[in-house]
Amino acid sequence: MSDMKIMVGVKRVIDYNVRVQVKSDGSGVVTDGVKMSINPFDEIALEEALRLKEAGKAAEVIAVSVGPSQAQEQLRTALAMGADRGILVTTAEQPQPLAVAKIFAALYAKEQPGLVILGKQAIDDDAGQVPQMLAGLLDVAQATNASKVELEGESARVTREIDTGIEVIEIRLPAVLSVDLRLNEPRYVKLPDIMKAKKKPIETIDAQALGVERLTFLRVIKTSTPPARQGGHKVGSVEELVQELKQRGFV
Amino acid sequence: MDFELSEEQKSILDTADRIAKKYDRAYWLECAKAKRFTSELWDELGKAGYLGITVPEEYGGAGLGMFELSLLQERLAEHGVAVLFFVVNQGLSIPALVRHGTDEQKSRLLPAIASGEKRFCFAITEPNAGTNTFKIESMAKRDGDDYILNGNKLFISGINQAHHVLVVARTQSYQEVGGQTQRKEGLSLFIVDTDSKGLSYKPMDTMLLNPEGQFFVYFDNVRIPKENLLGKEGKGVRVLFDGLNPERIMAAAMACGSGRWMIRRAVEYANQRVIFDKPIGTYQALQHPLAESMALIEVGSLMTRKAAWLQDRGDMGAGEASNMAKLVAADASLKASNAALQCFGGYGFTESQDMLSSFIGARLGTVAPINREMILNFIGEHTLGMPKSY
Ligand SMILES: Cc1cc2nc3c(=O)[nH]c(=O)nc-3n(C[C@H](O)[C@H](O)[C@H](O)COP(=O)(O)OP(=O)(O)OC[C@H]3O[C@@H](n4cnc5c(N)ncnc54)[C@H](O)[C@@H]3O)c2cc1C
Repeated sequence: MSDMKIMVGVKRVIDYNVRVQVKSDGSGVVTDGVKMSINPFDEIALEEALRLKEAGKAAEVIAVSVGPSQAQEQLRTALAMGADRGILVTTAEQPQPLAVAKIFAALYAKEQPGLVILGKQAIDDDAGQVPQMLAGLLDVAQATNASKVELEGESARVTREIDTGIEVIEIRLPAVLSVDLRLNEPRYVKLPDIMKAKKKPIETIDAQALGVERLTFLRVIKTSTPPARQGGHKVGSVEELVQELKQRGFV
Repeated sequence: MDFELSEEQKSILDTADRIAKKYDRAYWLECAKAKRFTSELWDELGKAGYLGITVPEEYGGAGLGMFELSLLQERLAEHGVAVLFFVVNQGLSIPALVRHGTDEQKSRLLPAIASGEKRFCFAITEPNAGTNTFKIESMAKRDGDDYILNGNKLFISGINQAHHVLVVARTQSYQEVGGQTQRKEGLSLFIVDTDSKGLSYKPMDTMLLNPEGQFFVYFDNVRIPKENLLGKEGKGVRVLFDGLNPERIMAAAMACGSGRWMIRRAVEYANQRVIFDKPIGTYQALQHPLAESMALIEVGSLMTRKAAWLQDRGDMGAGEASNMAKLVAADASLKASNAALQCFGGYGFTESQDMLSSFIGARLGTVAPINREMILNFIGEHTLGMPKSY
């Protein structure tokens, strides 16, 4: 399948180094003037797609972002990392997982990729639902939380990190993969590639044009900061520690 | 006027953050203590294409300017991992080569510099010529197709880690050109391979924590092919000045970044160290000096950007702006390091807190690569039109 296309999700999220602040009216978090980046799990997804392409197992890597027009910036970064082209699906408001999955499904119908690789979750809402919903909508195989991916002809061997350990499964392509932290270490953007990326195309489509009207299904009632951590105290010895833990019913 | 950085510039900062996360302060310290070159950090920067930022594209670089290069330097320093070679190699030698090198020199030298395979260090300072550069005594005499170089240099940073050294020497002595009034004549710049026969060096005892180290360098009948003369014989001053402004910009950027690093360290410490039942960060005696330093660092940083911008446009005002940027940035960094050290109390003097060496580093910024007095002399004479005092 060396002429295979790979579609990768690239979500614009608050950079993971930013100390997130909740808006005073509780309606969400502050994003004005805050550094935005590609969701770290999506970077890993993109890196994997690029490595597959470099190994001759895919012909084209398409980066897709769903969100505001500023997500162009993250697509440019994806193009600088090595994606061949970008698709920006604009939405009037921040779409929720089912809407994103439907958008990806519509693009899948258009592009016919052999693989869709997505991050296992986005670090802003931590929903972790799009890959599974997408595979469901498309009725194709899925492998989630991938920590190793090997393509062999029409199928993929995927190593997954699950609660009980490591699981290796084989799935038939086309398929949806969601990737875990330990899959790879994403590359840096190379300086000359930033300039080359300027010449790569980004297509902008409105979600409505893909037939996705409804963007939200849940109403967020309130966003608040977690309670401040209670200060701990020091114990003198291991015995004391065990004693203390027992007393509190932890062991 | 637009203060917004371009996508490329933002991306440079982003990559600097990532690389400095991988090769962090602990890594830098380990190299500095062992006086070992930060080769892994260097290679990583090279792979990402960041060592040839100002090298023209036809020679394998990115063809960008001092603006981008100084952004990178400031950000690396902000993580506590500034590389001195960015001052002498990227900052000084590359601009001099790009502007004054022959096509042959550029295609021979620049690609390996841009990829990070090769590095330059820079040698001008001599025992009898520090601030008074024109009094240098190293002599290069023409001999057939070669020059023969004799002389001594000192304080030469990183020569043991460099492949070439850009040497400032006289091809006509101070007396021969006619003394004080003609002092700018007779200087020439040479590209000398560090493994040349007759070149030797030994470490100096500078008590400064950096991976590069400073060296005494001796030239004993070193043969230099005439192809390695940079610029015209006897007209080295022009070449030199086209390298010294960028060097000042890089030194300023480094000072700003280090200042930010020290302030951040101090804030973290002061906010958690509880004395008299409150975090010491609560006390304005500690808070205000840090706040004031922060404002001054921002000013130094802005002036550095302006100087770099002028330099990239080939504007004559770049000399004045680079000097001013260097002055303000070095002073701000020293103020910041002093305020930061105070927050640490006695712990600031322990090796494990890793603050004292940066304080010394900030202090160095007011002496080298140019001292604040000479900058003030320059501003007094050239900007204000006052009499020259020396
Ligand atoms: C860590 C370090 C790294 C260095 N790296 C390099 C390098 O890589 N290559 C290189 O060539 N050199 C290097 N140097 C040398 C450095 O550039 C010189 O030390 C500096 O230029 C000052 O020269 P000097 O030490 O001889 O001071 P001097 O010329 O002896 O001056 C001493 C002091 O006198 C004052 N002074 C002198 N003249 C005047 C005047 N006219 N008006 C008012 N005040 C004046 C200044 O305050 C000055 O600080 C390095 C130095 C250090 C410490």
